[in-house]
Amino acid sequence: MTNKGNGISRRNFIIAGSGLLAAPAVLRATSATAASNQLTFVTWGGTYKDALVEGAIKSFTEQTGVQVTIIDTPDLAKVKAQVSTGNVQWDVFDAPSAIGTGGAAEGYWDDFDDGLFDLNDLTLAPSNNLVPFYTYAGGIAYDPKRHPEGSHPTTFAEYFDVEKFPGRRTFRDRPSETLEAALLADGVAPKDLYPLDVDRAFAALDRVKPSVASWVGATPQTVTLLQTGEVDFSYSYAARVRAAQTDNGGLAFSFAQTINASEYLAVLKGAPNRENAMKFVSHMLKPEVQAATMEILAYTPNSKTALPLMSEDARKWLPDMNNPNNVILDDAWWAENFESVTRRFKEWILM
Amino acid sequence: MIRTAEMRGAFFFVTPATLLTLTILAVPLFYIFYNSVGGAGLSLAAFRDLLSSGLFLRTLATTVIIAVSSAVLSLVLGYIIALHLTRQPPKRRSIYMMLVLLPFWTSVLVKCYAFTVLLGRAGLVNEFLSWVAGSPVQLELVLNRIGVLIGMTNYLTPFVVFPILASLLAIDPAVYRAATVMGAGPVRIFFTVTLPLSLPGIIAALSSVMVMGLGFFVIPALLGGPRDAMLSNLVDFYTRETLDWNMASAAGVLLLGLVVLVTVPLTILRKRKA
Amino acid sequence: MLIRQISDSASRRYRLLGTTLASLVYLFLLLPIVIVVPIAFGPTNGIAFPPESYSLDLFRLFLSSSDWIGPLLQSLKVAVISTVVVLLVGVPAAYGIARFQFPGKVVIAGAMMSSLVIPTIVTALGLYLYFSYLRITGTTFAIVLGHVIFTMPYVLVMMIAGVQKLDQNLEFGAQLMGATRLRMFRTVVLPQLVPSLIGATLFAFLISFDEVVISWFLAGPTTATLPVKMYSAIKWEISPVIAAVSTMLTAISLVVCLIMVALQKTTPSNG
Repeated sequence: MTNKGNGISRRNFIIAGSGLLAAPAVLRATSATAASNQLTFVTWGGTYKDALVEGAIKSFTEQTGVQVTIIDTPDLAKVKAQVSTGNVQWDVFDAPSAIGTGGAAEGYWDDFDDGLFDLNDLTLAPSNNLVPFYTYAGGIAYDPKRHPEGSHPTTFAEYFDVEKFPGRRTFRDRPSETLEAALLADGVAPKDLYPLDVDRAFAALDRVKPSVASWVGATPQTVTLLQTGEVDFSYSYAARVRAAQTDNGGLAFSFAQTINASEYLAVLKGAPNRENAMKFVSHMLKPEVQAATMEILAYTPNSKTALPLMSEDARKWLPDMNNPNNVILDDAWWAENFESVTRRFKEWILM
Repeated sequence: MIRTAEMRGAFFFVTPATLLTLTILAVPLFYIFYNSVGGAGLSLAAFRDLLSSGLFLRTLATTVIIAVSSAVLSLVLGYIIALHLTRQPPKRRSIYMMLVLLPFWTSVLVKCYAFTVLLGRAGLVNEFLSWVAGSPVQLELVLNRIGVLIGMTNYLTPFVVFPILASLLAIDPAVYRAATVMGAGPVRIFFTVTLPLSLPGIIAALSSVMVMGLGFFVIPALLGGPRDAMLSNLVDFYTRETLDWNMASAAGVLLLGLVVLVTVPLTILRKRKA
Repeated sequence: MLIRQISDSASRRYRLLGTTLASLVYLFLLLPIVIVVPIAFGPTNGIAFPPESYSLDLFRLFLSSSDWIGPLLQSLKVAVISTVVVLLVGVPAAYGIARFQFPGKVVIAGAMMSSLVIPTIVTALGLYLYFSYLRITGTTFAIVLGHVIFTMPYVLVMMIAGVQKLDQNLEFGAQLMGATRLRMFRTVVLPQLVPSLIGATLFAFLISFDEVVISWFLAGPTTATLPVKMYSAIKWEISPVIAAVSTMLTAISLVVCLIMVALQKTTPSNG
């Protein structure tokens, strides 16, 4: 694809092109890398972004003087466009499990420098280009005022049961987490989930599709659509629902069944501020930064020393890794399948 | 014979814009055609893939259906306004014109935002209907076909008003007097005099709203659901989501072809009428 | 006599019907513009209509948040630069097209105007692919170029109409007196074109300022324009701040609209 889009055609283009067509090639900008005090961090917006700013990014800027530009909604397609046109604009990418390993398989991430992390302190070890940031829980969110006990789904089987729980729903606009939910709903036991039966998952999704009001790209929407009453039930995340509770009094999250997964941080290959990006990633994994951030977010920190520093209230919201109904997302499976399944999934949404 | 001085003058004034058009418009368009045939390989694979893809064919049908229905709706609404404006004395007409000009100049994003607020499940229209009905009404008016049609009709109507108004104002009032004297009623006059004589305006309006309607991007993206994606949205999808630039280019070429296919006959018709 | 009366009351009813329908259509056209204004002056914690209390909080939020102020400034920058460029290039071209005969004129003028009939997404895609190849996507320069091409036809149409109304003898006179072409253009032609120039400037500025599709394709993370930011905000978050942004955009449209109407009044032949 890269070749079809650019590499080969670019060469042919000059060969085939007339003088006029070739002339702009001379103008082609070359990317210059210089020491800077800038950094572009692409992350998931809303209350989550506020938590990262408060818990981690402010202290990073104070300590290093580096100004962090925050972009909402990481998107692997945009990374691909940036990397394949050689016009990389993002430095650090906040990557949920499958997107992280899928991107690694495509070769989008740069290797970390040595000695960025205290390996003894980390529960989950980093690979050479992905470092686990925390563990999150995705699941069913609802408004208990409109749907009190008994009138809302608590498991994925119920989330897919539009007869028993009529109403509009959301899903993410990516296959990871969504296909898992579909297979769980279709009766696959959590321990037998991988390798995913993709066809079966799509068949299950076909049944629920008419009730899906939104395929959410930007995570804050998983909560705002519930708040505005556009949807009845939403696939969202424990931390988002918790944040929405404190400032708006209202939403609830079902812990009966969740999809637990690692969030990674990665540095783009060809990142314009590579130096700062490495410092940033290192900073995000420091115990005190992890404790401060995860206290606000209520996700499981990857730093062992950070966990006991969190309050009782925050710890109540952490993903439950021992509940047999829950699934831990298999990043290795997604590493191999993310690209092809994503394409099929995105076309399926439009169909 | 064209004098050389004249040529030099023309060259002096027109060259910068010509060069800019060549480099910033013609070359990019050529680049789309070039990409759509897979570069110098001259392969029609992208077109073959597109024309055998259910997604593309569905999107093509959606595009034509939405463009035609919103064109018809906006023609009707625009005609109503144009007729009303024709009957006003000039001073008052220019005041009413403001009511058309302001929407004409208003950003499409403002309208999309307003319609999401108005038409949402808990939006103002549903709230109003609930109040009238005395029980909760939750019509689904947005993020579906209805939302797209409402938005597009709203956007296109001002573009209809101006050409039709021009051709209505061009009708000689004596024709109306004659028809009245002959005893024709208002409905009859409308269908035998007004409508036929305003046909050039209708055709002009139709061709401009069809060009805009076929290429719409923002409104289906913001007011429609996934199944209301139009060709423009498919181009965006291939460009940004699947990064298949050959497919994106082929879809772009076909969209351009569709626009040409629709406008050329209308333009010929318009020239003949004029 | 009787027939006359019947037809009178019929035509009265017909008129009433026409006026009623027209009022409904005016309402349909204006409602979305009007509705955002009260929301913009409402509270920041949700969309309510009519708002329970009125304040400028949303505007304060809009103008104090770097998420919005950056794109606003970027849009102003892009609109100002592309307006200047398109006038520098387009006004002479309009004069050339209106005044001179030269081979290929129809083709050249047609090409300059063609972005009017080419679906914007196609222009945007072409620019995106081409600029990606040149590695300038995401730069302000790229967006400006896109906007210059996009606004060119509007400037040409307005300026050609303006030039055609001028008295050509004044220009002949200036050239006979030995003025160079550039000097003649500057001292004789331009001053007479001021009303059209104001119109073209406003047109180009507003179109660029409101343009979404080309900017959506060409803007990068640090060069997003206000419409790009708004597009993603409407798509992904229904924040009441958008109401404040919308109200500001509508106010700008209203001002432009009023100036345009005033211009048409001062030059009645423009009609």
